[in-house]
Amino acid sequence: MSSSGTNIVRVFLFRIDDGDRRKFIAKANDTDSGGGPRDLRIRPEDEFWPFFERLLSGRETVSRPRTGGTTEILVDEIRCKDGSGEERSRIEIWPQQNNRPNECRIAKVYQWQADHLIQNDPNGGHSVLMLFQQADGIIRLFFTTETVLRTGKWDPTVKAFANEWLDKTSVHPRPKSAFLDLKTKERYTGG
Amino acid sequence: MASAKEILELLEARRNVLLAGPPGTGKSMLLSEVANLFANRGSGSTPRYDPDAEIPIPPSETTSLPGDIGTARNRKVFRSVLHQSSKYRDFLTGMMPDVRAGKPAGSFRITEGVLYRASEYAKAPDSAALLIIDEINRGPTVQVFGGSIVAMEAEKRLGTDGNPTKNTQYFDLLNPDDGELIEYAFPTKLYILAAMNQADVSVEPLDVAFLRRWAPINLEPSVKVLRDHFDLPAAPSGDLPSTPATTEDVFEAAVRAFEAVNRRIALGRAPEFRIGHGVLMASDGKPNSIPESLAHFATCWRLIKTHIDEAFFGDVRGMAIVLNADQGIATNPFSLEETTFGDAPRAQINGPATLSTDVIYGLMLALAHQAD
Repeated sequence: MSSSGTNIVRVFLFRIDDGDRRKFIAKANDTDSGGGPRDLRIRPEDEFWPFFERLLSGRETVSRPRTGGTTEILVDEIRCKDGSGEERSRIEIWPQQNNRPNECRIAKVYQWQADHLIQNDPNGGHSVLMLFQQADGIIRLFFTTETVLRTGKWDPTVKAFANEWLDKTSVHPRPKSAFLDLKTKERYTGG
Repeated sequence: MASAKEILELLEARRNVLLAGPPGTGKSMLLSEVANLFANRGSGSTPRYDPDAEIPIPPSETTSLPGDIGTARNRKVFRSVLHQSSKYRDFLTGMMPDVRAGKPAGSFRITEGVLYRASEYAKAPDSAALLIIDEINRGPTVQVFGGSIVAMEAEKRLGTDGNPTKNTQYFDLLNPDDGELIEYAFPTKLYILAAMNQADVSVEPLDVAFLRRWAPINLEPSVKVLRDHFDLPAAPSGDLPSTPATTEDVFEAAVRAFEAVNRRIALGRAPEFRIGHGVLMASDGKPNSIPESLAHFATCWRLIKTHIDEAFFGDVRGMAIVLNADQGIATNPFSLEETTFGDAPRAQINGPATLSTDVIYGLMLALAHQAD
């Protein structure tokens, strides 16, 4: 069989704007990027949440600091190459809050201590965060740029998906995120 | 297990390849992989992570396709599934009423069946066609292929230049262009890949003369694939607890039950009636908790139970042996009852109409039990 642990089953892309960069060091509450100083905001939740439920295998019930209630969040481990080593971090994705309908959040990204890995696009394009999942469930974090996504030697399926999303990021409503699920054949690149 | 690349190499050598195996042994997956390789010029269709590459998901390494398949600039995959109503005209050519818009009532036309279309495509310069036929034994196969059976053989095709060789075999065909009967032969770059489950025979078994035109590949149920999938040790060791303490206990019970049941099916009915490993494999990884595992295997074993019911229909004692219902195992929800119908002895299997998560682990332990 050709199936193996290195086959890719899911890909998630997120455009890192200036405000988002500061979330990687927990200093982003001065911008319109929103989501507090630590969280990347993902919209629309009704598109992304089912995908995240497939991407992350863990579930935890946590308290809502603001409302006092509890909610179930998605958790898992991500792996990221840093130099010659590989760092492992916890990823949390929180569902929408009452004051931010249809928006979920990748929370506490500063804990990844990955701000130094964010890539600047030499041609003025976007910086991009990529999560991709292997068939064995391992999730990997990778930072890249619009130029690399457009011109680099990527798998043609991933490249076509990324370009479709990048083409939409320059026109309203400028989708910040996209996903591709090769298992369910679902994709979202901005509606 | 055969790989897609190996099948392509066999197709190149023999032109006609037949995959045979019980349900769940990976036939459909292999058909798709071969089709993707054939159509995509050898590029793998599944993105892969390369930890050593600068781009983490680079293009898959191009597979060099063998022989004439590799040299064809144009390649196209045609697909078909045989069924009880399949006809010669659906595969080659034939007359059928023409009910298309604008056609006067009572009109007829000549069909261009999928094998004819694939053959015509492969006759074009620099072209190769792959025809995939799933469930090839689910219809009147020999009638569907008609006189083309002999002409299918690799050495009886047209030459690589499109001209006949001394071995080229022709058969009569209704020409779609003018309705005349013509002598027709298959091109050399027509490849036919078929799949079947020998236990599924809807109309008639395939005859030997038909089967010898194909290079066979037999796919077997694999316990190793299951053990790899569920991250279990290569071989079972020790007894399992009466209630599962971990998901691995549930996985182990399921795999042991699978192996034991398949052994009994092969003895009681025939190896072709065994269940493939794919039946137990979740489409999205493996279950994460004991409740998820029990729910997953309850669904799987309901499917397997239906298969056993069908394979042993009318053979109560055979079914009882497969289910270990005659062994008096406490955890088995199924039991064999000896009774009478008037003065005649009868046997019946008592048990739940459907398998729930409450009984599935006990059932799997009971199924895994080897009769002394």
